[in-house]
Amino acid sequence: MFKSISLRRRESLWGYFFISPWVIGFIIFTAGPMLASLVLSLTHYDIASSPIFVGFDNYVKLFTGDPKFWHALRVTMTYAFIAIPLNLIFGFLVAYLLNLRVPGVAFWRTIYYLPSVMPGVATALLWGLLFNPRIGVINWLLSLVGIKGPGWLASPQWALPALILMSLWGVGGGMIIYLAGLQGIPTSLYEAAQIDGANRWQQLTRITLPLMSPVIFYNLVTGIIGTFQYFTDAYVLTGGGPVDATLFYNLYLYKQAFTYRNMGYASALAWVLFVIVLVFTLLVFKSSDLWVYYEGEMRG
Amino acid sequence: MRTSATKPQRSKKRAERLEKIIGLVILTIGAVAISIPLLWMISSSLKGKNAVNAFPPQWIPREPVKVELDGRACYLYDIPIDGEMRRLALYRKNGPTGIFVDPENPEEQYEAPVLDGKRVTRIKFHWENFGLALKAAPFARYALNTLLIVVFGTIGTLLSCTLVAYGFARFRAPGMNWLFLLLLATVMLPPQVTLIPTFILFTRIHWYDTLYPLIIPTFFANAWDVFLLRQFFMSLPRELDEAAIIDGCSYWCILWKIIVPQSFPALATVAIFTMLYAWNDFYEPLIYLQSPEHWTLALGLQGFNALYAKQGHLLMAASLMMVVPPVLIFFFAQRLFIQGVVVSGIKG
Amino acid sequence: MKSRLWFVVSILLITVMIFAAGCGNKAPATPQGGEESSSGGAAESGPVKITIFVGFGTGTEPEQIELHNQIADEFNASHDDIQIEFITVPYEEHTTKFSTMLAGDMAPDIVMPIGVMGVAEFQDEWLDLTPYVERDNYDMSDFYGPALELQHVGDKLIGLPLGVYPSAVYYNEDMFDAAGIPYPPHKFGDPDWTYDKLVEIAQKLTLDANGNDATSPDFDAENIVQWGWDGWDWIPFRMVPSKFGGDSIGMSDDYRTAEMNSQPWIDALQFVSDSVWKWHIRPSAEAIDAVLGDMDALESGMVAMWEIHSWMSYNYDTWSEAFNWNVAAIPAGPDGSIVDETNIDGLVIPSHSKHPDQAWEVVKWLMQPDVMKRLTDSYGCIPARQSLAKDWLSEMSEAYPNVDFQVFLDGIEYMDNPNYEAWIPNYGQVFDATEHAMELVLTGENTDVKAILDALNEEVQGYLDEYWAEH
Repeated sequence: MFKSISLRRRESLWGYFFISPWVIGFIIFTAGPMLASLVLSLTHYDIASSPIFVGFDNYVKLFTGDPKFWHALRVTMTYAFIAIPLNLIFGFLVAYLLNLRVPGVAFWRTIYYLPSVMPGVATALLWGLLFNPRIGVINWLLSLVGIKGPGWLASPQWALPALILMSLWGVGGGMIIYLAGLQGIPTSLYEAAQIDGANRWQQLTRITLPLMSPVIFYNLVTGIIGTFQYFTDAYVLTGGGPVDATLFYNLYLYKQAFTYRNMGYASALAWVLFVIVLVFTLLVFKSSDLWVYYEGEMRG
Repeated sequence: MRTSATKPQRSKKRAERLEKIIGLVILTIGAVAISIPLLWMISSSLKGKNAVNAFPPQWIPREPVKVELDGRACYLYDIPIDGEMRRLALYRKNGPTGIFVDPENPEEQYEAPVLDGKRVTRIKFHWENFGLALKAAPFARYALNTLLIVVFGTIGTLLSCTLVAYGFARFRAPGMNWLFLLLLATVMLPPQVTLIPTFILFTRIHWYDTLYPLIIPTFFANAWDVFLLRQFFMSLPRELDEAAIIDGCSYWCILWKIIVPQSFPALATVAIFTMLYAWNDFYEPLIYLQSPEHWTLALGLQGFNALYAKQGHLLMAASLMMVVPPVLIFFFAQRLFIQGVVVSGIKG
Repeated sequence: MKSRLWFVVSILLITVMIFAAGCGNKAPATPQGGEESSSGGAAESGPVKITIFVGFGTGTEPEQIELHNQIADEFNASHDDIQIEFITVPYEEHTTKFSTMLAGDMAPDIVMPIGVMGVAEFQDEWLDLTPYVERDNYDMSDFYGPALELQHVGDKLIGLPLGVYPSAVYYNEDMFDAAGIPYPPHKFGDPDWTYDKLVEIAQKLTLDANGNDATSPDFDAENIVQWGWDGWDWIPFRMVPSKFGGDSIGMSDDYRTAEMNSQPWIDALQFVSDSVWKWHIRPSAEAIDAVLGDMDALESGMVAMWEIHSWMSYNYDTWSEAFNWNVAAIPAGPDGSIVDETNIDGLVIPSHSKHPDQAWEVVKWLMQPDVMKRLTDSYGCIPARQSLAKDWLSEMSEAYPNVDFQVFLDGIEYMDNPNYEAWIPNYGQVFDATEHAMELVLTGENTDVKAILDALNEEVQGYLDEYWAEH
């Protein structure tokens, strides 16, 4: 009995040891700034002069007196609920198809991944051109099949769909992760299944999906965290317009922080977003017991 | 059952082939869709300064043809004169009418409404854009800085994230789950609000305008990559670990001899992501670097995107050149993925 | 238990440290023109490094960066005690970078080029140069009066002017020729040259796909291929009311009461709305994007007139390649007054600069006629020194013989005051709110001008109340 306790302690200590690089880095580089922003969220801080403590004023204003907060939250949620599933599905689909050992895998993989390699400033400028209603290629292509394309980024109705469409261009990022996961599934499992007479669909649902669930889980969680902080493309391409149609949460936060220089208020916005994302993440984590399968999970 | 095994076997083969064909079709459609912006980028990089805005969109860059008349450059037009299509140079404009001249025979002059004519264009690739873009800034210097960040950043990330992910994936200890959640929480807070405190921290330790803020933190792991590796480590069966422990292998030895070899695809993914992130990252260098001799490629690229004179063609040319090294690395690093599969395949 | 305590304590300690570091040292540099502070600076070993922040406007193109580096080399070669270094930041990121530097107590020593808006974004952050000007008896008589005026904030002189960018009505001569309409007047003060007249001309210059102009009963507003004018596109809406008897502030004199639903503001927004939706002479927001793409209005070849600043000079060559163009005077508003909206670029010294005395020396050096000339040539502005403006006129006229550049010099006298970028409380938020109001009209989301401005006024009043509660 004594021995088992000490073994467990030994394991704990080794565990702490292995994660210690992160813990040390967290304490040195991350914890301070995070806590500082939490404290700043209780102040008025215009960056140029010292912060003034105001208690929970920022939070009260945020929930009771700021329609833009709710609007920005709605825009972000809309984007998240459409873009995250689309990217999950398309990323998986492409990875799955590539994994069928089609000829020229390296070529396909490179094509699909290329967009993720592009420097951000070029991507934004490029899509600005592509979406242009008159000289842009997208409406030109639509006109070839007789459709008069919308105003895209200049249209309050189409700006958000345009950004979602643009996000699909980056599907290669998720694809790479899925591919890495798919490649890790032992081929012997499929061979065994085939001998048992399982068809391809059954192989997909009974072997591939369960074994891929940790990776899907990863893409889902990071998708949630990343999407709620969506910022750069909208900042460069629309600046939140037209008429606030693409005023994403983080864009609004950025404006409060640096354009309006209400860093205190922006910090409050940030911590509210933090809680929202945390709640979503925890929900996904809680649900993961039901659908995520780890081969190496500790049982008992 | 056993005796008739060949028939379903054959139909399975056929199903597999069908699946491959459908897969290829879908992949091709997707690839075409993805390539359109890429091709447009390539096309833009070969255009003249203003052809980027041509209507209708030009895939192959074209330019109006000019001819010299009396030492002036005049546009060449296709214009109907007395019902006959002629190729003439627009010599002078007189309100809406133009004086057109036959370049072969300058004595021959016609008057016609300019709007009736159509400018003659020809295909012209501006290969010099690449040279111009390269010359616009000391990109060699920037490339060196970028390379430093990329190399050290990748080493740091791989080392630290592997250790930390191993810790989170394989060890039970009090508070471990909470620490993992804390790790994820660090990326849930929008970076905009931690920017200033972090900046202050780095200036206090005199790291401003050095490459340290971009390199050193990578040696202390980050949530995205630790999470990714943890997911992969957790899906590895534990039987091999346990067998190794019985053989007297330490935790270190399990990590290096068993976990890492099986996780090659995942590690390669992390390496690629880190390299590309560091290669293209613009924001952190912008905040933490100041003097031009410390600039990175992504910072240098911004010059083409200035407030007034956006030089789209040069930006595209420079971006394309910037993309080449990572794409080559990616293309060839794919062999690593595949080798990784072979290793894990054997094990299975 | 022990380790957990240690963990918590260390986190708290670090937070406190960072906070103390971040919030300390906040006393702004005192603008004393004394010799003590300069001797204090010299006591540090080696030369003083003066950093010059570029990014509040133009100045970030590769050729401009190159010019800055050349100038820095020249300065550094001829000075032992002061060395200068340019910090170049893309325009989109200038607030972030500048804010971070301020917060990190690493404020740059000079910011240039910076316009009225840039100054207003960080209203209280600039050093009053009056003591330096008085101490050195610095000669400012060569500067354009109006340009110098814009460098005043309250009773402070916060900067010196590098150049000005007045506005004019740019027009495509070919389109006037094709329609058989005489060119608009180039002389300011022509009694017939009003916005009503401009609308009249513009309607004749607005064509649909069938070639009907906007005055024709058959005109098809859904298929416009040429617009008579592009309004004040690229200029914030705040400017427009100053054309209609109001000003660009839209508040009471003490900045406490919003007055953005006053008659001039209503007239202004109504005019914008009518020009798009009633007269069809100006493209809607979607059409603007469709026309422009990455182009400006004139370059698109689909717009006949456009009122915009002289900084369009960066695209003159492109225009000249494609068509004949010229500039006309600014028309008079309904009350007969003429307002020429003007941008300026200047140099300022942040009040948190650690070496204001040396920075002032650098400013003076940069303001020398020959250095200023190189900078203004590169930025594309009319030099703020009248002695250089003549050169500017002759050089521009030589480069574009067809164009009447005198219009711009005449326009300087009609400069808007207060400037449409001038400071107002809660600058960014009020600015975004006024832009939002105009966007509603331009997109056609809402064209009830009165309702829009009532809502705007209420929103802005909220920002004002908030501002005054904190100040």
